[in-house]
Amino acid sequence: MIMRLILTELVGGFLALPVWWYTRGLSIMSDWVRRTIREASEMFALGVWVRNLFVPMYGETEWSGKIISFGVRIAMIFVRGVAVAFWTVLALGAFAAYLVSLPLAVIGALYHGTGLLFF
Amino acid sequence: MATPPTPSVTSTPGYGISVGGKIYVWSEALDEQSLARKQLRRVARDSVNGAALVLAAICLLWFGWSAYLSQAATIWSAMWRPSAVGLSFSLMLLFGAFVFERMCEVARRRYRIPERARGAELPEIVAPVPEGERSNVGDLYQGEAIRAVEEAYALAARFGHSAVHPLHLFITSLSHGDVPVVFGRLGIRFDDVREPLNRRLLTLPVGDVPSVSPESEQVLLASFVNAYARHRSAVSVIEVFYEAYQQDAFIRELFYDLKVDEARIANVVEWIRISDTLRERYDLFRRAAAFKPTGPMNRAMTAVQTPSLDAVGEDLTTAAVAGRLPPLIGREREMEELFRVIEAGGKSIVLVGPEGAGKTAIVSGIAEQMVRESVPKVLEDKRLVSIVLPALMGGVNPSEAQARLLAALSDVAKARNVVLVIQNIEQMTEDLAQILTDVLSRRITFVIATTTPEAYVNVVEHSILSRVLERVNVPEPDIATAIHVVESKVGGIEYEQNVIFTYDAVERSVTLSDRYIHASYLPKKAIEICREAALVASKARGANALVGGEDVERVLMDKTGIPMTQVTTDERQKLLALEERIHGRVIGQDEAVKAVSSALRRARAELRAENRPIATFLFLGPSGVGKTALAKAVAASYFGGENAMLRFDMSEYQDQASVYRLIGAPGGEAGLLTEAIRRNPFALILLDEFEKAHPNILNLFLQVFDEGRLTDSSGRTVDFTNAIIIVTSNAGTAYIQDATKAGVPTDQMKTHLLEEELRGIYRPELLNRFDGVIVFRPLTEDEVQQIAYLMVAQVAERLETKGIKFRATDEAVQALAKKGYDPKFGARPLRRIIQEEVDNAIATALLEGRVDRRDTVVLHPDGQIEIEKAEAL
Repeated sequence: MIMRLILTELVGGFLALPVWWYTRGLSIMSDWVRRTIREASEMFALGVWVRNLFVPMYGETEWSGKIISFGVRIAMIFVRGVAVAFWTVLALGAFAAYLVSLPLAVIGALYHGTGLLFF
Repeated sequence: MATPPTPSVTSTPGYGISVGGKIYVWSEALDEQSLARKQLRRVARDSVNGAALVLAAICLLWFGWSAYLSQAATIWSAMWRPSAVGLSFSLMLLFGAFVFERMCEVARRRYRIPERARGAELPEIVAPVPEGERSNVGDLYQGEAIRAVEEAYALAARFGHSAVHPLHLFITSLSHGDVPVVFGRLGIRFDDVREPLNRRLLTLPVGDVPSVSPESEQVLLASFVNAYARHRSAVSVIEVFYEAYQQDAFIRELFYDLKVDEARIANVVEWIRISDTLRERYDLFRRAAAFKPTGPMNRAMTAVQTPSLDAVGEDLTTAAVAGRLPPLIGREREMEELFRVIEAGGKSIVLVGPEGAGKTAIVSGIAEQMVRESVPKVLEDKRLVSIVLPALMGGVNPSEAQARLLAALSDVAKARNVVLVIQNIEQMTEDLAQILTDVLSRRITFVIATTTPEAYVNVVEHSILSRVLERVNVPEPDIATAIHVVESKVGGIEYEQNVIFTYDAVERSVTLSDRYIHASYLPKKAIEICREAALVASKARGANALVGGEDVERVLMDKTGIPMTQVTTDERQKLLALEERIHGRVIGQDEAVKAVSSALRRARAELRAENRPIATFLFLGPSGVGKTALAKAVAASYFGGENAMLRFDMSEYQDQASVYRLIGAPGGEAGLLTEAIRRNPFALILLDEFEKAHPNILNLFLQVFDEGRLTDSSGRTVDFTNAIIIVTSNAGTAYIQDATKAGVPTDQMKTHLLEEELRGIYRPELLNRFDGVIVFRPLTEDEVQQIAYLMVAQVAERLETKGIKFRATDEAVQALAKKGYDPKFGARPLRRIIQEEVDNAIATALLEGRVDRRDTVVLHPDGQIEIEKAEAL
């Protein structure tokens, strides 16, 4: 009885894997990607910097201060934007890897397995 | 809750709950076959998951090993032709993907209870099950909770019961989750309930295969509602335990016998939940705190350094990020009101509440919410800085203090990211208040200030600050909320002192401090009591000591001097024989002794009204009949000594100004009466010759007799509810003496006194407020003789300390009694006669050296003394 159940779990699990991978698994992954990008943007406070683009930094309200602030903010938005973009690229890369990993694993196992066995 | 549809047991769902358009029912299969099948499936699933994990790990190791063996440069090319590296990598990916899927599915299978909207009504359990998409409530049970339910079924099957009853659910829940903690907190042992539960199990109806009874179905659904009400993500064992207890009358009775009522169980369950919630909240908070800057700079970098502000202020948001602020429990209404005022127009706020009621906790709560950024927009990305008034005003003259405040406010204006907190704003001088008001009215920033109700009325309301501050009341929390606050704090105290608190200790700290300590407020006073009780318990009993209700009572007893521990056998005997003990000092006056003794017994058995003094008596009668002696005897036998008697000769308080001597003059010295009671609330107050006091003073006592409290000149409420007040009066003495001679019965005498003699002296409302008006009759000759014996015994007692024995012949005592009795002054002259005739004679003999140690002095009539020499050693 237990062996039958284990077998069913095993075979059923492996057979259901491709379907799961591109349905529920995909939605879990896309949620993860979205969350990662949001957290990265929160961490680097990109929104806060963009909203305050024209607000002088450190309470410097003279013209020179305002101009310097604007410049620094542009630079900071760029640097922080790059950092957020880097995280985004990483997350998207992981997502792309997810998309191809299952077929790659199956094909690879068949190719290398049969190759090693028969050649 | 609806009534069961049929009295018989059901296997299909009989009840349902509608939440968010879904119908929740209990449809978890519990029969033996289903359980076995479930168990097997669980084993099979776990085995497959385990095997996949192991295989993935082996493939990873294999891949690592093969990669290590081949050259780094050849790994990439090895992937494109059949190779061990390629195979191990592919299999690792494949098994990894399989494990990933299984893990995600396990996590997904953990259903979550739908989130309850704030203020949404709780769903009702209805029968029959309404139409709609059904969901199994069992899916929302935590693993341990479902195991407890399965065990309940197994228990019913083992006993051959026809159904799973709430009793089964209750019994099996006892060994799961936090339920053992509930028992620990309640201070009861499993053994206390084991036998009665076993006996009860044997009385349940037997049958074939058990099914879930309608009552149990209700318990299982109510557990879901309970968890839903408290925003829990899943149903835990504690909810099953609580609902089974609620459903089964027998279990409730059983706990009543162990002195645990429904409120206690509910509060302990809440305690467990509070600890869980605090943990969850802490985790969430830590995550949010990672984004909050801790310096003066905000995230937008628009702020500036604020050195002047930092010199006189404390950054509360930084303290909150560091986890140094206490958690806020309850106070949803106040927080809502506060945020509403802030959102409405950024107006400044003053939190008005008594000392210790939780104003600082609310400020900490705001700081915490600001760290989590779950605040109105105007508070986002801001710092909460508390200006410490002593730091601002200390050590400098007023103009320097103003300069400091101006500099700090200028920092605030420049930084634009600061919200100020000013605790006890009433301490600000008028000049400082003027500067602050100016800044606030220009809307540069806003302030969250705190003050007490008295200070608000006396200072803030009349100052310029009232123009810019909107009042938000922070009243003292009720008993239940205070208990929850103390429960949330006890964890820290337990950790510091290495002790464990029982619920009894927590509850008593709140209820007893509420009843006996009136100078401070809940929850602070209860927390302080808990802290002291923990210290005392840990010192007395070492690590892991259990702090019980009696520890709290002892601390409170030491603080107030009020006996509040359970009445011991010894004390019970004393209380029952109180009349006898008092009669050891007071001769005759049976009615008075009985009335006073009964009042004391009522007080100790906690049957008296708690908002009035223990008792108030009016003693009427001529001088020297035992009025003061009875008061002294009560003080000695109940309050622990004659010193506990506070005696006021009211003839000294005849003018209007003497009110201030009793309750203190505004801005002057403390009142004699109020200060004495504030220091020693458990006392006997004797007000001699009450009729001679000024009428205003009599009015003052009207309030004391009625409400048990009095406000002194500095606005402090002084509590008289633990005092006995005895008022003596000589009014109507002539009538009492005449009536006694004429043999008028006491009742008739009392009626005449109240209706005629006292009419012009005391107002009727004052007379009505006495618990008892007691008439002391003039002493009979026989009684005077007994008093003479008592006084002679006192002489003997005094001589005993010198090692000299003393006795008086009956004739001598009778002679003393005869000389010492005066119909006008009662037994009062007796003391003088004894002094003159007995003490003087003994003193002379002592000075002449006629009396040595161990000699016996014998008193004969007319003060003649004879000395019986002791045998030489």
